[in-house]
Amino acid sequence: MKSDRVWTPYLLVAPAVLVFAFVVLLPALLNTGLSFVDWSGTNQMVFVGIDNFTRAFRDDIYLTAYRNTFGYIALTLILEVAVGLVMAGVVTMQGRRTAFYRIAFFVPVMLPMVVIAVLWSFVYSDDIGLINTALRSTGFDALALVWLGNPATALIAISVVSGWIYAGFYMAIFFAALQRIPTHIVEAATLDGASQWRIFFSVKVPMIRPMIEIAVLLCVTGAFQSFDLFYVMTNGGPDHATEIVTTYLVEVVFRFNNLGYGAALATIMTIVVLALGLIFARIRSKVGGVDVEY
Amino acid sequence: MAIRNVLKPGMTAAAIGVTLALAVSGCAPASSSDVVIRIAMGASGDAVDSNFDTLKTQYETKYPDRTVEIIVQEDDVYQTTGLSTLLSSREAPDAYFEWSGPRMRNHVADGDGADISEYLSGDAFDGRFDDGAFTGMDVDGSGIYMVPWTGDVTDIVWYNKTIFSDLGLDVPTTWDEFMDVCAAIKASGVTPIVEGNKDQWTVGNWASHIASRVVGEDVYAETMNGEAPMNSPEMVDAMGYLAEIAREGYINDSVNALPDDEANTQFFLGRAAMIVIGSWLMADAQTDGEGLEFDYFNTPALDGAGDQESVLGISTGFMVNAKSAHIAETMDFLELVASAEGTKLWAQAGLAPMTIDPFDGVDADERTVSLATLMSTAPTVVAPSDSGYDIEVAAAFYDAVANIIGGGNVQDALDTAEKRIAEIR
Repeated sequence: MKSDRVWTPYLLVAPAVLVFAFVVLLPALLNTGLSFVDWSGTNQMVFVGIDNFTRAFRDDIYLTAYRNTFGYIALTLILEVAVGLVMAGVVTMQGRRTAFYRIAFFVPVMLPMVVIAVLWSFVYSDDIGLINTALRSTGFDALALVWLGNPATALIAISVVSGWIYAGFYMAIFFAALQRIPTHIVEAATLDGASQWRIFFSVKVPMIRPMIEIAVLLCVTGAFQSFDLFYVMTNGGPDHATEIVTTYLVEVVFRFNNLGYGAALATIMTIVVLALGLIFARIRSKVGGVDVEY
Repeated sequence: MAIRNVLKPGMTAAAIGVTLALAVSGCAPASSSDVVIRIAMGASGDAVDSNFDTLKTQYETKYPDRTVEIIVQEDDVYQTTGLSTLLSSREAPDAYFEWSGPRMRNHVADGDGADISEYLSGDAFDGRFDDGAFTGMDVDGSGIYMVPWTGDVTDIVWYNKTIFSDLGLDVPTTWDEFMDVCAAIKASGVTPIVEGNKDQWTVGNWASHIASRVVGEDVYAETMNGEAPMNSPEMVDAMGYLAEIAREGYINDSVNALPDDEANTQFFLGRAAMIVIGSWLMADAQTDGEGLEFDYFNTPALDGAGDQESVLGISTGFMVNAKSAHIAETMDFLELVASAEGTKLWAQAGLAPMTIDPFDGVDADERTVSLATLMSTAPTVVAPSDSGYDIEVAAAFYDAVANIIGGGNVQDALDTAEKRIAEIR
């Protein structure tokens, strides 16, 4: 009997392990293998050693793509996570009638990304766009810019759209976490004379810290998966000001038909994302990422 | 029990029979078509799409056991990710639109292009093309890999005749005259030139033409093949012409943010006096430019080593997938595309077919006829960087051009491009 049970745990985890192996591990290994060849996708593969990797570190556009991605992360941490947190705070302060706001803030998350990108391209349009029309009609002509055509504003403009979409998503997460806080703790703070904002920042936010940390991790890793907004709104331009790793990958693989080099770029990106995840976990454990019990 | 034993095998057999019958009926094709031909292309306007539907109907009527699937993708998507994705898919197209030259040769090298010279020399295509139509459709002088379709002039200056007439302007023949025209239009409060360079090929193509005119066609070819420096003094001089346009504010501020089709719309709406784009604008004008009085002129003469009468252009056609299981049937469809009736459809849609009788019996727009003549009588035809030469070199060049037309420094932009190209070399 006992010898039969030895295999039970392995059999139970086998489906998950198999799915993970076929969906994640195997493609990642194959991609890493492709990183060492020169290949257009249909021609004869030629082994080139680490040439693709050394080229990547000399590739100014690839390095620019990382700078842009980290800039995008910094902006979205504010526009998505911080704004989402504040929105959740505002919604919870309003008492019972919050359903409308919660749905309204969450609606952008449910819209197709390409539709949002096209809509916002019109909002940012130089001549017929909502923003520039409003600015011109109120006498602020000098502030009417080519938002998506100016290297100084294009990344910010896309980040604002990203914030418009995902702030509602993070709000929903934070709202759920805030709802779990026992009311007696909030009542005690209220009796001590704390204002709503003081209660929010000094009581509620520390109590949902684990959720905030997860949100930050999602935001950072999600930035490396971004593609459609950038591809539709600017296609990496102007002058690579909105080029991110994924848009450049698509250019290298599909436009230049350089699958070997593209695979190397993807391998490096995988390592960067894994490293960021590990650093995040390390920081979390060092500064005391213990869940607050209540 | 005995009854059950007797019934069991019978019921099992019945169940298997029913299951098989259902499976067979479920697997049977919905129609009687045995052969499906897939034809892929980028969008060329509603009129062209409608014509392909007409040919599809004709083909399916002539061959009832065959079905044609027309796959039309947004033009930029088709050029970049679309076609390559289609070709590597399980249901790869049997024939697909492509430009002659390096892109076509790459498909042949990848095993995606069939040598169709035997079919083209057969009765079906007999006398439909001049030999010159096949220029750039062979590989190192052997084989033919395309059924020629249209000859595209890829860069001409379209202008709004009403604005020119109202301002008393003549068509410029030199760059200085062109700048004077732009200055007069700008002074009237109208944007002189609108360009949608979001995907970089519109101004990139124009820059290719300007570069070939200034540095000479041979040096231009060497530069775009990565064999000559991108940041040579001659190239800096050439791109100085574009820098002048940017510096003087003769082009829309949104040049690097606007998609090409939206720029076309702005021109059709009369919001700008000129647009520099290819002959295919005629096809779009049929649906979007109704009532607009417009015409074209070639890029005005510049100071340079190249032929100042040159035309930037390239021929297009349909390649047949070497991996197709229905090459003969696909050629039957392409025969219709190149037929006299097909030619009429293309000419009426505003295209310039490459068949021997492009405008016979067709009440074609005189501008379409004139463009075809321009292409066929040009002393020099220059290919655009992105469809005629190394795509990575072209990408570096077009990046530099976008930077320059956006107001960047010419030398810096070309130095950056040269640095990238050095890596590719």
